[in-house]
Amino acid sequence: MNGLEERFRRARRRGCSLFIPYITGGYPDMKSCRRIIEAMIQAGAEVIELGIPFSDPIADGVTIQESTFRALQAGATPKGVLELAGEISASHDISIAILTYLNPVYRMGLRRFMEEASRRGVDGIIIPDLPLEEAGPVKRIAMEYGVSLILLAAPTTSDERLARILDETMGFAYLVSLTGTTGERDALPPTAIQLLQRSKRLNPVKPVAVGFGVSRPSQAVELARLGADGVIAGSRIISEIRRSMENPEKAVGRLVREFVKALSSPGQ
Amino acid sequence: MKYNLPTSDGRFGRFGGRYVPETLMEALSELEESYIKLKNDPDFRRELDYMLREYAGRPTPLYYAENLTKIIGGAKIYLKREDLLHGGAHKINNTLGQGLLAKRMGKKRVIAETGAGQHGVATAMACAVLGLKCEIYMGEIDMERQRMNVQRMRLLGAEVHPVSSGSKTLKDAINEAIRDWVTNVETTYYLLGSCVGPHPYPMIVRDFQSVIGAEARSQILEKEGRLPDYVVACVGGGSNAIGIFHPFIEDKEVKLIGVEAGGEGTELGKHSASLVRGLEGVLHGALTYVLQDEDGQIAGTHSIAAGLDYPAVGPEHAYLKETGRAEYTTVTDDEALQAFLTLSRTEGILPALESAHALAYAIKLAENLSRDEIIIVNLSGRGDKDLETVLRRLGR
Repeated sequence: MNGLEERFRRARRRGCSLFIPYITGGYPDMKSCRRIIEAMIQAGAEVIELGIPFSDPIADGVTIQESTFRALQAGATPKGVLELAGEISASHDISIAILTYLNPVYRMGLRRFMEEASRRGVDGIIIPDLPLEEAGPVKRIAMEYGVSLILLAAPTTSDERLARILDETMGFAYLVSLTGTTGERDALPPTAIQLLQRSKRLNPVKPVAVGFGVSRPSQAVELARLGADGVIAGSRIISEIRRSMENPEKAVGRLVREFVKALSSPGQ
Repeated sequence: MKYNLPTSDGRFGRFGGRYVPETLMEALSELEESYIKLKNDPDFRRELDYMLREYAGRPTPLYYAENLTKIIGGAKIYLKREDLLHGGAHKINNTLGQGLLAKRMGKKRVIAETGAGQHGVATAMACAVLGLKCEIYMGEIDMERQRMNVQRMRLLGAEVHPVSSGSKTLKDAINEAIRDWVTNVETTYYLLGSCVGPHPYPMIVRDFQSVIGAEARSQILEKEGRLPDYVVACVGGGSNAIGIFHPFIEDKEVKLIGVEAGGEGTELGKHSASLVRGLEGVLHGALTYVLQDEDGQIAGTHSIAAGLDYPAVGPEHAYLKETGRAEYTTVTDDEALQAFLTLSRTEGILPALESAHALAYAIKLAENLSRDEIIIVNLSGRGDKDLETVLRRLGR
């Protein structure tokens, strides 16, 4: 069992779910990004989802798209973001999951990318345009370097596929809560609940984290009560940064603390 | 050897595949199953053949461009007149096919992307005649430079959504169409306009466009009693080229030449030559050749022909390049413009600037060939849509 999965197990034994904040690497710039991540960790986040920006993020809504373009304009590169991951992982006991699209990984070379990720203390990688059928070669090389390839499942995924995804994914399964792109939503979609329940029924063991559209601690708590081992928020974090550009780390720290606290005893 | 690609997992050699968000995987399987079931269904074939003949104007002539041939003084040049189709381009072959497919699948809402606007117009036409709701994504820059096509789409009853992200051109329109499809996958049919994207699209678009090559092949056999020496077509995403190439693939003696947009220089950003100058990568669901920087970020592109202005190419072309079955080359903006003028004056045909790329290469090629050799050029569209661009370039 790898570190990421173990972290979810430990949280489950404590009766809590993990809050996983996302930030686009190099947004709003590399230095501020690092400070914001430090604030997330201070606020209790144990798993950070760190994006390597890609010019054509087809699974993302406008909020994350804009952060991507901003980060690229500020000079973010795959190598630079992996270095940032290295600095963070060297000084904190946390897990880092990289989120990026396949092309930047492919360009660097699968082997070189995984080797570099592993050297920088990256625990897992999430690639939204790499479905189960195409994942084989990437997973083999990731495994060689001890990096977990985290697969995604969606409300449109059939039970048969979902069972295979839960079986094949490493670390945890990323459950996409709705049919759509990333972005904040007012209410938790019913599809999120159904997908979560199906996942738990098909595979009670594999940790699952729910993402896309989660914007409030109360939504996170609802998901945790239904069995989510983790809850991911991305657009909510990015818009918090955008709203408080003079001191984003303070605002993000406060937000992350709320989520972490809510998830530390979701049964209450 | 029988050419029988793609494989069941959507591969042309190592190219192609399905690199899309999980949300779309079941929809792609459903599309593939429906298509495979329908493509040999006699009812479906009959309906499509009827629409292609009575509505779109097939078959198109294979015209011997005698004046042009005489002026050049080399190989005989034949033009496959896709410009004469309804809508003025080959795009209608595919939109009628996929429109009928969407209808049989019970989808009522169709979305599509468009660059130059030709696919958007062809989709709007097919949806109007087939009674489907139509929404088109188009980059803001393309909307500006192809204003007439935006108006045509609207008159045909389509809703046009401006796309303001990224480079505001075709690539971003595809991104936005994919995002719409991810959101509305259960009710919506995504009518992709070129042989790009995830499997089964490259196969479906190729099959519907192969009518071009199938006709051209039997027409040349009838006129000349033999196959041509060369088939030349322009390549953006590559749908008109794959359409005319495909029926000739097993005729080893026929050389297939794809012409990409050389734009105004060889540096990244100045052209749209994905096959000639790109690197292997993944964009819009397929492993293929992609114009990108060293970090894998997708590069900007340029071409005088909006329909060629795209940073990737259909995966089957990547395969044909790698195996050497087809050759790919480039023609610059200026050369394409010259060919546009030449054809207009010698034959009285205004070609689309996209097709003028194929023509420009064919003219260079013909000069160095003997008079008993034969070239077929796919004249994929007409040039009326390009008048503003051409006049501006000529300083008029």
